[in-house]
Amino acid sequence: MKLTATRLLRVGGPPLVFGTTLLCVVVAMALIGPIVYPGSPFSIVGDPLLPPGSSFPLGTDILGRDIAAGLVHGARASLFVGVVATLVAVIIGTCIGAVAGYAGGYTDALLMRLTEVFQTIPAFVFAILILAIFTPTISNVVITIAIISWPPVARLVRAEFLSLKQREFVLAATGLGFNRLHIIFREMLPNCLSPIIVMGSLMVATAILIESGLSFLGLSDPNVMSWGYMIGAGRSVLRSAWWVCTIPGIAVALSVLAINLLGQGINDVLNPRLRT
Amino acid sequence: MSQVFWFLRRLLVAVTTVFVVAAVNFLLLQLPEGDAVDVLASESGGASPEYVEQMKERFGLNEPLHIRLAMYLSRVAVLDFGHSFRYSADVADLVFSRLGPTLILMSAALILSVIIGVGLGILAGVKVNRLADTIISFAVVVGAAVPAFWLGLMLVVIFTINLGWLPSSGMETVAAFYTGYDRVTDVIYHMVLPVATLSVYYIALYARLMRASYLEQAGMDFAVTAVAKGLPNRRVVSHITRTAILPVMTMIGIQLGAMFGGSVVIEAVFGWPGLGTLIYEAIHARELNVVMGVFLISSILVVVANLFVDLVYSLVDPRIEVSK
Repeated sequence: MKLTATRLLRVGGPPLVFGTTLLCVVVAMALIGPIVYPGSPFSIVGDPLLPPGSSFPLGTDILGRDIAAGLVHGARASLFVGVVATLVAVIIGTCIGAVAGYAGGYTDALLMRLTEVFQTIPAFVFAILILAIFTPTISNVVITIAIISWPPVARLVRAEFLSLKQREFVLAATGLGFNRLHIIFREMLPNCLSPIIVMGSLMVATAILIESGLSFLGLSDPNVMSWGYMIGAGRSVLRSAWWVCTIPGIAVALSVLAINLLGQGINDVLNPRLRT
Repeated sequence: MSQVFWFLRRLLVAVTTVFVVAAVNFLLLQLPEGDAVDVLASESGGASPEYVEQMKERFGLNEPLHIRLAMYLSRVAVLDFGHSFRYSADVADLVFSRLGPTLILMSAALILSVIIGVGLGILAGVKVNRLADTIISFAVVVGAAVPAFWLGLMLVVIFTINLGWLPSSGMETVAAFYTGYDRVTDVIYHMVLPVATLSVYYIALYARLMRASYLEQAGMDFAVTAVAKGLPNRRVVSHITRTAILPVMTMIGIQLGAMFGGSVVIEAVFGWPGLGTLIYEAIHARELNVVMGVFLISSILVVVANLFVDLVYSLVDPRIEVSK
């Protein structure tokens, strides 16, 4: 089933339209935001803790930084971390799952035990540990989230490969003497792309949630403004200035909601039989 | 008999997991510049040269890597995680003293989210594509999107700051010196907000899984037969639920580790005196020893819990070895 915009809209219905629109707004915020707010989001522009609606549309935070500026710069950070970490995780997971599923035997057993270990351990605590040992730069955050997110992809790709391995076209390719890399990447992988795409799109949302949690705990790049950091920084003034925490949290929730709705829509188009 | 072998195999996997976690811990500390002692000494806010020498001696840093790994693992095996400067206590003792509150918080949230989540999932499955299903499905999507720590802060704004109904931090009113029944009530009172916050995401997750699993089973021959022979609705639902709940139980086992991660952030929000708050304080005090201790103990905890789920599962569902 081909994934086209018209099919997507027809099958997905209102939730998908809502999700897509919302995501477009967030992406536009990330793209246009730095033009509207060209300065550093860390620069102090006014009195601290001004409520929304004053000279600053969303108010200022505890140090007098513009919350609107933080919000648009945070959109960049969240989307960047979410998308890149997911890409890395999907690549790692696909490679491990493909090798395990194709090779079978001891290789499969070994790789799957490894996957199980990574799936069992408290992933978030593992992420905390990695970032506590290494400096939490934005690339380290991306790598860390990728390290804790790949196991489900590996399991999915392995399961797909196990069933594809028995199919005639794979046997034919083997019989024609193609090498293993060609069979794995050119013959088998394209046939299991749709579940990978669905899983990947939903993983972006999870990655954004993990990133916000880590930066809330103070494990984010100190030079990059992120939504989780803003919530964490506003915590101490929750009693007197609730908006400092509330606004970036709504941004996280809406972004994650948008991506989840879009991922669900893609799933409905690609796997029409699984619709419930 | 094969079930015994199956369980032994799971036991082996569990032991391997703990072993790998410990080895990963060790290797992580080898990666940064300098050796483990330099990292530990600098991260803990400086140590005297004598202490560094003594630590190097103790860690055997002049030995080759595999010997050091073996030494590290043997220390882990006897739960020796070193010393915490900030708390001036043994890391293992520190971690175990914080284990109780975390277990209380997690088990309360687990029970609550399984009951409500599975219940909502069944309801949505029974009323599929009707109003109740639409409302539940919408709530599930929203519940899965809201960051838990933020939800916690918002609940504090509403229920503590504005309404003044519930306490927002700690596990009990220490200054009140409650005893017995009063103390239990006080703890429950403090539990409401953190447990509710932690549960929301998992209620959404279990409701979604249960609904999907219920609908899948509702299309099976046995369910169609049950309807066709005119069983009352209640009986049909209980038939379907009994088979539909099994895959959800597996997911609950797999999700335990993730739930522990979630409780870390929630504890940090509510100052709940468990492992989460400990790790939060340890990050800011740069106490790697403590962070590693919490990671190891929580891994062991999750592995043991999974093993328990497996054991129960193999007793409940005899088909398990066939599917393996």
